[in-house]
Amino acid sequence: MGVFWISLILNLFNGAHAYVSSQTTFSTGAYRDYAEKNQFLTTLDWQFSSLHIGGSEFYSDLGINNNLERGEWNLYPQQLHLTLPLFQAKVKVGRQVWSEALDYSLMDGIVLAVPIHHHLKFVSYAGGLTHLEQTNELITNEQVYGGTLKWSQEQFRLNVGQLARYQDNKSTSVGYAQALYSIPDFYQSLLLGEMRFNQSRGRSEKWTAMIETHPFEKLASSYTYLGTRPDLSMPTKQSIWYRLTSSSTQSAHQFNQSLQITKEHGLTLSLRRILFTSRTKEERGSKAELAWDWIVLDRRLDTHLTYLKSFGGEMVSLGLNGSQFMTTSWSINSGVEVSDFKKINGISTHAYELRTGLKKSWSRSFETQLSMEFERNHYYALDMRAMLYVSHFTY
Amino acid sequence: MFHILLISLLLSLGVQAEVKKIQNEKPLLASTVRQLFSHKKHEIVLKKLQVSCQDCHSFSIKSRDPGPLGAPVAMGFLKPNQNSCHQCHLEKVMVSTPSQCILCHQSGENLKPEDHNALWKQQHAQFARLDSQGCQDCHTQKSCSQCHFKRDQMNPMVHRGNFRLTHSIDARLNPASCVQCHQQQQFCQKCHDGSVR
Repeated sequence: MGVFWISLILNLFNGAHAYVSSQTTFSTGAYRDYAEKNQFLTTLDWQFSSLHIGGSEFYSDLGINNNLERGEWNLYPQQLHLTLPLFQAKVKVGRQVWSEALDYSLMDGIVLAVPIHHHLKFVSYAGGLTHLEQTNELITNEQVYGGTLKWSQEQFRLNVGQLARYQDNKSTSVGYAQALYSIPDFYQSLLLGEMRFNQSRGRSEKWTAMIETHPFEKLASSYTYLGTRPDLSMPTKQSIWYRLTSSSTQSAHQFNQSLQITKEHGLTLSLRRILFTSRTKEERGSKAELAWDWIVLDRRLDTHLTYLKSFGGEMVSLGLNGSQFMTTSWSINSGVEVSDFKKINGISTHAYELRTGLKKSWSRSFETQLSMEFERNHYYALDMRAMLYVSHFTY
Repeated sequence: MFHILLISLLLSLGVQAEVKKIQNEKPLLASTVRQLFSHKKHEIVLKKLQVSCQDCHSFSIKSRDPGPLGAPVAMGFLKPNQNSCHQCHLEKVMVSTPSQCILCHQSGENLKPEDHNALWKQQHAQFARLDSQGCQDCHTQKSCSQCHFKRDQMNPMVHRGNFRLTHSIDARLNPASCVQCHQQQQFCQKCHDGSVR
């Protein structure tokens, strides 16, 4: 929180010399829970950016959530950081998005980016990883220290790095590399890899290879392999629900074949096969999906047909989603999902869900959105929840 | 129930001709620079940021006929280049309109990079890892947290429809994927004890 107060003081004293931009969104909604009780939720989100002369910047992304029925208040400081230029380098301090290696998380810490050469940059980082959840509790007991060398020259990019993760006096060493080579409008290849080694839990690895060629607009093939061990960040004492859905030793193979017929039409076939060891036995799971995407101007339409089979059951699902700006100030988005599933607990049924939302920009600094969700399944003949978002912008 | 969806679909199908026309155009400005940019409206902001006239306008071109009676330099030579606008507007400003690009440009579509196509949603993570700075050239930090970190309990758009009922099949298909975001055990319990849905 120190960063917040320092920045607030900087803003107060240098307010006349800062460019300020913010978004404030208030949202509220109601739904019925399984016990047929009405629940009312309100949330206030505030994103704020203040750019100072010389290039220093303060950014915050905060959320305050309240469940009125249960009297719960939660504060979500999603991002809160200060960026300072330091000669040619840049330092970022505070809670920020951290996406080195193959991780994507929030980190409370410091990142230093130093340009070494016109094409070469070194990024070092140190901090504690933070996981936000819809409770007051934060998990911040895992630390990361490391650095990445980033080479970027014309059609070639290469990132190579090494990091150490610490939790409860146990350490994991992670080496990673990412490479991209492309010839515009002809060919592109990408390779991402990560290897983890932990003394007590062994080796984990993940890598993705992707090749794109351009027979139509684009033909992309990718293969991903994931070989993991239970992560250090997972609690050692687990509840039954958590244990059922958290990882054990696992190897996963995923193959994706995408064909982009024209610039606005894309067709994707995705196949995934997973083998893993649960507490009781070897388990297998399969997923097959055929998806079609259409994006053009401010309109989007996508549909998918998905088949899933795992220890948890079997499911076939068909979905259609779309969004469109009807005028420059009105936009609509809708999505429908029809699923047929058979779960291991004996539930075998159809389920339907429709989501729809209408957004209106009243002016350049004020907009509202009304969203509705309708469900029909084995719990409800017809259930509905409604949400209202009101946003104000300053810039 | 399906009326809104149907209307949306029909509207989408009815605009193909317009789409083709706009796609072949260059990212033109919606109006002339003179009409889009007002010195008066920018005066306070530019003053706050201590942006001087020379930061946007180049006065290095001199008249061929020096002296008070010489011909003045044509206005065209004093125009700032397009980067002058983008230096402030890209990355820094949160705007409520469909995107801040169409504040000045006719269509946001023509400004999109070539690879931001129909398949981009599935592929963007891999490219963002390699070049996060490239993303920040156009997107604010809000763009990431909107989908990846925002905890909107009422409207969890990250998951597909019916996910509340079928997530157990998905979870058992790829157990490692749940704990990437849901690290806390309480998250499971809050629903399974019947209090949240």
